[in-house]
Amino acid sequence: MISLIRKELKQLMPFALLWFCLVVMFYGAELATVRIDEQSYLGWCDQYCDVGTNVDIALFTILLYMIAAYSLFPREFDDYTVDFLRSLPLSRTSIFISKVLAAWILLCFLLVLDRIIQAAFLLMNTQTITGKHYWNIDLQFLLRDSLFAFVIVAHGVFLSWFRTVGLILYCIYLVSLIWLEQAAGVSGIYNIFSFFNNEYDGTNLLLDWTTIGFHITVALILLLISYMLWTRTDSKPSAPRRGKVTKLLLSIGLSIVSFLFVAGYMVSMTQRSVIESVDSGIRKLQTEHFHFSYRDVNESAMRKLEPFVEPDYQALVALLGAQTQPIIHADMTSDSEHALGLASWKKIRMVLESEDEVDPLYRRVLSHETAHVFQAVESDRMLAKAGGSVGFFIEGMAQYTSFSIVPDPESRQSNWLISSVAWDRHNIKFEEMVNRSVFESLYDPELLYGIGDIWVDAMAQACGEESIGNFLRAVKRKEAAPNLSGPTYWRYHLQHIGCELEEVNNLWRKLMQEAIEQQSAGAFPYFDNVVVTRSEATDLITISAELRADESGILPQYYYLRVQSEAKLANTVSPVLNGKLVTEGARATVEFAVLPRLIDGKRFRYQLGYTPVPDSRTYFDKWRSGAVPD
Amino acid sequence: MGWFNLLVKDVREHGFAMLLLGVGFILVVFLALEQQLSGAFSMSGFEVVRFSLITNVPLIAFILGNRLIVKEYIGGTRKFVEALPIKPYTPLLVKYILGLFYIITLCVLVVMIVAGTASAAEDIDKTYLQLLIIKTAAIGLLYWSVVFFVSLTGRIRLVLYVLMGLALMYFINVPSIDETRFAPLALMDRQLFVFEREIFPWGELIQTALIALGFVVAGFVLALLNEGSIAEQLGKPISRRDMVAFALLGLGCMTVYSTLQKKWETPFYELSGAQVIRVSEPVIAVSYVEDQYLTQAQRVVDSLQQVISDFKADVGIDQLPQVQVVLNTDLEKTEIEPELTDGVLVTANFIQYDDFEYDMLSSIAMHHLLLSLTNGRWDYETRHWLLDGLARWWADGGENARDSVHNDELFALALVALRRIKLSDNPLHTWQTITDNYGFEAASAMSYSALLYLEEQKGTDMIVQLAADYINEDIGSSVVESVQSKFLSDAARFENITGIEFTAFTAQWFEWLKAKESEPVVAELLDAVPRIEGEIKSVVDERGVHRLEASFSKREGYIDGVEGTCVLRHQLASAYDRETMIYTIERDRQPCKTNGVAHTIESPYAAGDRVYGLLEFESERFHRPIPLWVGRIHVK
Repeated sequence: MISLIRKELKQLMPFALLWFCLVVMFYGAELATVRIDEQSYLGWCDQYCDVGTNVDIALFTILLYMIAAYSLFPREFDDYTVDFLRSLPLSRTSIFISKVLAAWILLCFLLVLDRIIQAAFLLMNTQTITGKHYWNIDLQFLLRDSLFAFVIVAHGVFLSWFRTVGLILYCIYLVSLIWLEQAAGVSGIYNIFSFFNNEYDGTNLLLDWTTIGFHITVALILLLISYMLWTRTDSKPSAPRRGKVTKLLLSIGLSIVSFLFVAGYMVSMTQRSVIESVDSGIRKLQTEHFHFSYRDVNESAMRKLEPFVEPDYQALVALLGAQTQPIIHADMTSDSEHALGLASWKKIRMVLESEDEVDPLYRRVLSHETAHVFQAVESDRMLAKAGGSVGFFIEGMAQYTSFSIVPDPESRQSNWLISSVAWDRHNIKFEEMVNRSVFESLYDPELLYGIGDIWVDAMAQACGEESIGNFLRAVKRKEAAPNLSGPTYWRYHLQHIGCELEEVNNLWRKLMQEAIEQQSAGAFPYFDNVVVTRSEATDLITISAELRADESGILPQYYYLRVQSEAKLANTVSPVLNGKLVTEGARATVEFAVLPRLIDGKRFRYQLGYTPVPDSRTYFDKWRSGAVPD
Repeated sequence: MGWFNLLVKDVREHGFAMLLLGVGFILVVFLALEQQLSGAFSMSGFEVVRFSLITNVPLIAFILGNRLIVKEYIGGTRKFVEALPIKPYTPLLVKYILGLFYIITLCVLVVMIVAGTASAAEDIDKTYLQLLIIKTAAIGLLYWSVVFFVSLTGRIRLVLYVLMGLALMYFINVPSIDETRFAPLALMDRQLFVFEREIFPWGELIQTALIALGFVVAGFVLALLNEGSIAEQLGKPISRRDMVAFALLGLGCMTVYSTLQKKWETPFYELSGAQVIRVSEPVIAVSYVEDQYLTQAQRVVDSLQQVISDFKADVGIDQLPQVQVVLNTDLEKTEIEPELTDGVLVTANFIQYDDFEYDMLSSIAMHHLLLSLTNGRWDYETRHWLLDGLARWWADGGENARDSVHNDELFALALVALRRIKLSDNPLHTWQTITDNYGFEAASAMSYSALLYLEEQKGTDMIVQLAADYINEDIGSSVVESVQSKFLSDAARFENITGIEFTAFTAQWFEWLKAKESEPVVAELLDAVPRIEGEIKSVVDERGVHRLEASFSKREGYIDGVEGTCVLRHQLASAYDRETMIYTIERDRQPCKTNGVAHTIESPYAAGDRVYGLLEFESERFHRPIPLWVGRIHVK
């Protein structure tokens, strides 16, 4: 057996070489650009150690391990060398086990080697804090990654029997996971990426043994099936027909089943779209700059909206001094619960439900989304390319222009108030606003709309309203460095249009302070003494908080809880749940019931909120940490 | 009709597999379509076309390349075909055309499936469909051409795929390159691919086709050159020589990697607008955002001009990076945020500063100026004390620092910290821990006092010489710098320059500093700091509410009735320690009682979290709060 494993290890040398090339490239680049005695454990570890799941790293690792697993059996069979092996006095079982073991041993060895290299480099850093090595975490990572390697080898050995078609099967599995996450919010233990979910308890890495156990069990089953498949498969065409016929029958069977599935699915989808078009009846409306599609039940609303669309469009063109006037395709049939409107390049997709009269909300949403189209077109997509640095401006500018074109002082005032209170209570800084992921990890992501609106208003006041359009065009100039981000991005681009970031920021803070000082309505109570409990009988998790009224002395009517969904692959929305207000004399408490399936693992994050002004946006507190009680 | 027979042969051999692959592909497309339609932020079903082009189509192309080409070249069966009376390029051409037809069919199929199942609201017209099909087919053409070429590279094909993948990832992710300006990535642009309905990107289409043609030509050359001996060689198992070639290839990639690190010329950022004071020698600019703060801004300029001019004269440097200061009235008085942006850029709220605070601001600006002169190297732990000390030394007047009016407060700050320091390690060598545990103000005061002691022993010139030695050093940014540093420790360097053994210097400096305790003003200040030690604990009360509780105990020499307030601050910490300070504004201010719990606040943290906690003492006698306890708490 040992000789067999040694032989297999030798055959896996090209894979080890591939790994070596990657290591040389990675560490070579690091050594050439970084002073390694300043590089900390976290510096080496980077996103691999971050809390949560890094899908990119997991996917890359899966791909790498799959290469190793795929190089075990198929080539041996395709090159007929398996016949030589089988002619030796060795059982097929030992051949199978030695191959699987060899791949796993090699991967474990490479994992250990990688840890040793990092530890050796870290030894160069003798600093008392950044030079610390976390041996306990290292060992836990090593254990987890070794088990992960075993699982992926098992997957690979099984899939490689189907040769390259196996990769399609894996692709189906991954797409199904995304689907599951979108449908159920979480994909639970079925998700192989959960293996790479980093959760810490103090300075200890928590391993999710339920997920690991599940995948190891699946891996063992797959290995058993693979054992039966590989040990009963022959190499040559001249070999007994049974294996080939079985394989052929299996392929035909699989093909028929797949065809039936696809055909059935296609018919059902076609039926659905037919039913949809019959039931809802899509109508078209064309104006000078818009091509609308809408449901005939919304004919009245659309007809009432129509007189406004071109004047609103022209008002936006004038406000931005736009140099191009794109034709926009507006699909008004969205029934999304999460967004009234979406825009991408020259397309808008939005909800239109009102049948009686044109709700100014829809007119404003259309104007808001049209502003997004102009952002993309005027900046030639360069604004979106700046990603997290401009998120607040993208939404804030669309809010600013839509409120300018379709005024709604009451709604805007409440938005400003909520944003200003949040800014004041949370000490929100511009540096956080220009890093969307940081902002969203700390605060309510929707705050960017209101707080961005105030910022753009400050920009218009400090640098003139024309600065908004000028800024869009400034970011697309060819000589603009594409590697700017954060405050630097804003300093350089604003400087180009003769505007000073510090002046805008100063005015922005003043406007928010004024909004707080001029508050005449609304209640912004505080949440105190938050308790998380779990019912043993129902498994339901309850989060309760005492309410402490602010200066107004009144309490809002509606309360909400946002639980952070742990979706790993899909772009899903964190669920928002309603709360129940309980008052006992002067004591007021709000309670939220959370279904356990919304929480993946033991730890979760949540935000408590309320509607401070009737019909306003929700005010959410900062994110809090929660743990499911045992 | 040789080509036709070859085509029939390939279809017979691979037709069934191609059919299976096609079914699998369609299945994935339908799944993706369903997933897309149920997505929270779904814009159009046609996004599935782009998704397929990024994921499934390259996979299918890879699989097909493996079957159609790789197997024959590695297995050597192509020799049977080549023995037939046909032109040498015919088998390859047949394979290329067959593969291309298959891939483009799948590409068109995915567009048609999406179009067939799309809602009427998608507003699909002929032009849009044509545009999508042409773009999709162009990408399909490129994929198959790349696979065709790589498949002919035999055993090294996987390495090539990985290298190409990495290069592509790098190209997409490196911030200094705008990949959307180059074909074929421009063709695949997230927004344009699906949502541009009118403009045909002819330029990008032609460029993509040319790239594809390049790969095809390279493939034919590889396969046919020297009667196919190169392709045959590549099909053989990897030899040691090949391994060396791979290593060289890896090194080549590294070279390309470093070359691609294009340094963009960014315009120089200078504070602009009416509310900016600017002086040119040395280059200083201060933004004061409102006219009412002009006086304070002028005071900042004067202070910085004095400090930086002294520094220039002392060290003899002609050119220095600019120093810019921005007023942010939203910050607390004690918050000063420096960064290295086109020189030094410091953000602070200086509207209510006194002399001490102005010097503190100058000291922080000097700190970053020195850091920028040494390529960010001077904050390495074993030399950081020198950086902190020198910055403060120049801010307090350089050669006149020994007579600075702030010395008593700085000595007291240093001495308070020294009371808590365990002297088993040389504090000047454990600067990260010192700053972490006692605050950067105390660390700065300690290092400043060490330099004053050195000045007293060796004279002002020695301080300047020590500074100049580090400033004039050529500092690299690679491992070479790290290795070089190991040959001459900072302690040895100190000894070489000053002639004083470093450990002896530290011990003598301690004695010298301790002697300051008896100076009346210092002693009075020291008595204004309670001799207490504290600790923060995470507890759960009877209601199940997580709380942070802090209590204090008396230290030796405790004096009752010291005026001031104890403050509890906290923020979430990572599992990994790093140099940090608290950025949250929430403070729990309480009397510094030593019997029972002094602070008890609701904790926003849950079991498993790690919290960075700080207990500090605020007093009117000191400009900055004095840390009493700093630690990381594990919430259980």
